[in-house]
Amino acid sequence: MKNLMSSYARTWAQHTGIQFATLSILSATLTVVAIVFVTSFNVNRIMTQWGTDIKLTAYLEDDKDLDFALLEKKIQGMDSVKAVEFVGKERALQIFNNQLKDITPEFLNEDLDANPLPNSFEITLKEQIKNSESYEVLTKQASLISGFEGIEDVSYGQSWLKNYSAFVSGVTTSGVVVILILLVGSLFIIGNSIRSSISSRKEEIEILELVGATRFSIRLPFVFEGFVTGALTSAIGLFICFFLFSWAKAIISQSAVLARLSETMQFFDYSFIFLFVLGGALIGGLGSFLTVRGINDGWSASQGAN
Amino acid sequence: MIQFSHVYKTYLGPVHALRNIEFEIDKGEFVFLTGPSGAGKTTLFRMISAYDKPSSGVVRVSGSSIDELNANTVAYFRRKIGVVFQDFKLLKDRTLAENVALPLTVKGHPQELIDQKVNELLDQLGLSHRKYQYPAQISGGEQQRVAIARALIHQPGVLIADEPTGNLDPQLSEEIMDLLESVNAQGTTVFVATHDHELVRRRAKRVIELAGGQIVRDSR
Repeated sequence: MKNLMSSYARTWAQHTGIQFATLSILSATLTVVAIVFVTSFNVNRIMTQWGTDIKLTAYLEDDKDLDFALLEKKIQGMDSVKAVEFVGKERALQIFNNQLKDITPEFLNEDLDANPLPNSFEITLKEQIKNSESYEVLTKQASLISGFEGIEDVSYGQSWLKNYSAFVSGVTTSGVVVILILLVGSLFIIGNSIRSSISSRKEEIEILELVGATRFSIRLPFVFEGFVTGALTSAIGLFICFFLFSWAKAIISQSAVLARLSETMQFFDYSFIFLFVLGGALIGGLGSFLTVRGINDGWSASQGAN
Repeated sequence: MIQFSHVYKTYLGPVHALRNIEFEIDKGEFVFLTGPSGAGKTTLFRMISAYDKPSSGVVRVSGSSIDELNANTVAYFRRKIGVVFQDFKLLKDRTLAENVALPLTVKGHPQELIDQKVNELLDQLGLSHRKYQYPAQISGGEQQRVAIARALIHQPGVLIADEPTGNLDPQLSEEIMDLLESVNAQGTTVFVATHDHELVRRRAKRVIELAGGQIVRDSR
């Protein structure tokens, strides 16, 4: 380990400019990767949070002979239904008036005889809306319930929920693609840095071959260099991402509309941070390994100046 | 110790660097390899040190056939020989002690043992007081002595030296040759390539002379 660290220190001492450039580019790349991860993580988190609040509202027909209790029991008996709450016309009007009183008080309707609002059931499902699949479950249940006799319509915020579900899927898919592209790019960046390091230490490699160093012992310092570079740049990327995240959260919390959103936002936990740094180190090590494999075969001095 | 049997080496062109080379060097011998520039001396030495393979024929050194070596086994073969070059080939960013220690370091020997052997060898060569200096801080003759020390620290059976005095003045050249003779006196087989006929004449050792890639004289 001491020899490996000495070798790494020598690389930095001899090629500070190139090493710093590599570190900067890789740190920027991994910062973007971290941002994509944290964005995707929080978008899904918000989706889950909102998903727990999603309720189906089944509006009932205005039929005096309708047996509410029987219908409620029928819906409650469905496998996917967690709870059913009856909301009568009067209560619906009270809720409506409460929501309107601060916004458009002139439209408040105190006349119960002219109440246009129907009776309804507030239905809570067991399955939380976390992604497109659970959204499909929701639409199926809504479709099923809307077919019951006495149900006029079922509402669950279709338009925004469908769009949001598609948005989350899009963010996740895009995130995966971006991350893959950036990680492959990182492999190339590491590889080029190691190639440059090998080229500048060609004489040293020849001398090591001369005195009987094995391929493994010649290659190991370069793989170690890639490993350490990957770990360092991952840590730097996370550091920068954390500051950007904190800044974004502070800005969002100041918005009256989005303040509640900021309460849901969360940075990575320690286990993910560890895995991210480890992953960066492994990417770095892999990039180096792929580069050094084809360079030293024990006869490199025979391919040199002679 | 060293055996060449019907060895040919041809490069693209074709360039016939070596033609039908046939000789044997026994354990404990001191042999000069002479010839003008381009005669094939370096090509022959590169084969002995496993930096190149013959196009045909057999080269055996310390019991190993060069042709049978591969990328995995060549490192272990090189641990059986010591090689000295005209341009010393010392690591510029390591101290003299670290340079001398290199063959033992790559073998993974304990640091205490390495330090002991390095100190002994540098002491014998009169370089103890310089062991923490770097190659750029010492003279050419001292650098060559360090290179020889590195080539000997792992006690190889064979020491090959390709123009070891090529970059040195006559007095230093004599010192280096004296050093090589003392190494030989301790039982190491020494094979020295040189185009310095005067140096060869003074030492009265076996001489193999190359010209045009062929052996034209073997004083054995």
